[in-house]
Amino acid sequence: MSNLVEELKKEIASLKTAAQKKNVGVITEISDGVARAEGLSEAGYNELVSLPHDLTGLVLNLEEDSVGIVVFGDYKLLKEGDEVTTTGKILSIGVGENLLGRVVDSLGKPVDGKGTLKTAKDYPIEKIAPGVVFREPVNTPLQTGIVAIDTMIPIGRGQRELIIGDRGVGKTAITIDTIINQKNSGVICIYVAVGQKTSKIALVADILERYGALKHTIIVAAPASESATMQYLAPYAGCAIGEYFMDEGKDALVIYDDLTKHAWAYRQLSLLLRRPSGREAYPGDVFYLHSRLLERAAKLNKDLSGGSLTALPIIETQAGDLSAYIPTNVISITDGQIYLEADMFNAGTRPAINVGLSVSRVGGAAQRPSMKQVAGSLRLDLAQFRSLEAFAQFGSDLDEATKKQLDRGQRIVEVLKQPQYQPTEVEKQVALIWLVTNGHIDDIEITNIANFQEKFLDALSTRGKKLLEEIGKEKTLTDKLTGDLERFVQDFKKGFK
Amino acid sequence: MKISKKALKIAKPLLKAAFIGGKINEGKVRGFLKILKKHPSKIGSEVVFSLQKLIEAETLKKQLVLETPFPLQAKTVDRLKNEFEALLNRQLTVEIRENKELIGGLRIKNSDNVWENTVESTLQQLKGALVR
Repeated sequence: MSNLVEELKKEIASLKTAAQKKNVGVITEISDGVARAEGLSEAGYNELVSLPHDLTGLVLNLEEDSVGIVVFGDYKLLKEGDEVTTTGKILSIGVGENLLGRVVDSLGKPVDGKGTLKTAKDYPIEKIAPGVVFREPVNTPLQTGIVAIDTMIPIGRGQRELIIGDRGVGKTAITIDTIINQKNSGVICIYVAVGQKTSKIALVADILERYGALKHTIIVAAPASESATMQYLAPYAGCAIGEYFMDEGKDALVIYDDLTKHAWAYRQLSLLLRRPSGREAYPGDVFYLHSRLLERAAKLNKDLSGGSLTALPIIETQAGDLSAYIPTNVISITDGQIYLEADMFNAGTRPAINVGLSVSRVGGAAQRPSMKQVAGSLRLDLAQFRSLEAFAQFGSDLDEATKKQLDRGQRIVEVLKQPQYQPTEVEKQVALIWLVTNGHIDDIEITNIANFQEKFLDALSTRGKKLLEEIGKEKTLTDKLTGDLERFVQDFKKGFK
Repeated sequence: MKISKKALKIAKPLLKAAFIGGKINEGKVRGFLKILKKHPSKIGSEVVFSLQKLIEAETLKKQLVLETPFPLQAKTVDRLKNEFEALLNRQLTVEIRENKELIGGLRIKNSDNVWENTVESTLQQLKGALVR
């Protein structure tokens, strides 16, 4: 008890109280989490304001005669005539290592019931992206563990790669696999859930925990039950957390699941703030909403910290329409996209990546040379297969070369199929792609390929451990390595039934 | 009532015209109201409402409200008036309000600006620091 009194005394002694100058206003209107106040002539854009009942708000509209404020918390407690005071502060979030393994809301408050959080620093939620001189080109790969992505649509650290597709085609699954694959890579992952069902967020947290990936992950949750304000802020909060790790010289990966719902939340706020609406009722600055967020993904140069922030935004399309407003906006902002197709998903090709419509504009520069060596022609082979496959459906007689190409294509498709939560190490991916592109599985029945692949990868982890290590060590597949691989495959095939 | 931008655009020059020698001229305002009354319309009522708001805001700008839990000496009031007139660079009228909730100290209001050094605000600051 005496300790407590002493502590209180200390706190009081250190408190500096002085005459304060405040700028005040009064609420003239309040509805759906948005308040309008008169006065506040000195309020700044994005400034935090203090409201009665210990509530806070964010200034989002500065008009000639009033100020539009979005309220955090229970806005129903407020009424017309309540006083609003400027704080001179901008919205910030507590960041630090302690956030790892936790689920927090858009303001950094823990929502996982694991107790309070002590953070190292406060980072502003809105920040200008690093300029050109502070960056360096993307040069380090970010391995997702998904063969189809790492081989044909490689992602580099600091890149922004969009994951786009209809609902229920495996967009979130790709990001979860990517998080699981970062277990020993040192990459800190931030999963931002915007407008998702709370049950889905709980499921993601559970899966990550089960696969030992929650330790290097932070979940920022703004479920559908949260206000539009919290949903609007969540991606920026996740980005601020990622920036902390980037500034510390670490590599961070932030997943925005998904920006379609984020745009919806912003549209709702904008309409309530009575901003003029444009196409599909979105406000005029909906492009800037996403561009300023995604521009914050960067690979910093060595003079700064050398850290990176990779962004994997997700966009949900309606009936595969890539040319809708928000999808086209985000496609143009990002450095490439992974397009997931519902038809492929339903046909059993999972991950259902449409290689023809997917692209990585900068990731190639970061891809491992050995991977480039073996997977260089994969994309073309697959594209040729798809076009031949369409012709072959007419049932006409095919020449031997075409048949061979079709057979090879089918095998490539089979090899690229991958079960969920089983990311593949990059060395194994190199060996696997080498195997298929060099015709080593041409003699295996299509229906038996999954089994062959599983056993081959198992054999590589046990008997071929040394070989894998060498693939990992060497930059390219040397003649010696190819010879070793060839011998290993022959040996394995002898024992494979 | 929602005020349209158009109404605000009309009301602003009317307010400017209503000021003569830094003071609002009641006769002029009444004149404006008469004209607006002759042509009743939605925009007309918006202009009246908007003009009322602008006049209120202008009046508040020229008013210095001193809130205190105890009566102030005339000397102190004069000093404060002179200081604030110099600070804000305009003539001010002083209004004194008694507010026991402040416990001690002084709260000074001009338009939407508040200068506060009261026991109540100190306690609030203390509460904020302890809760944090």
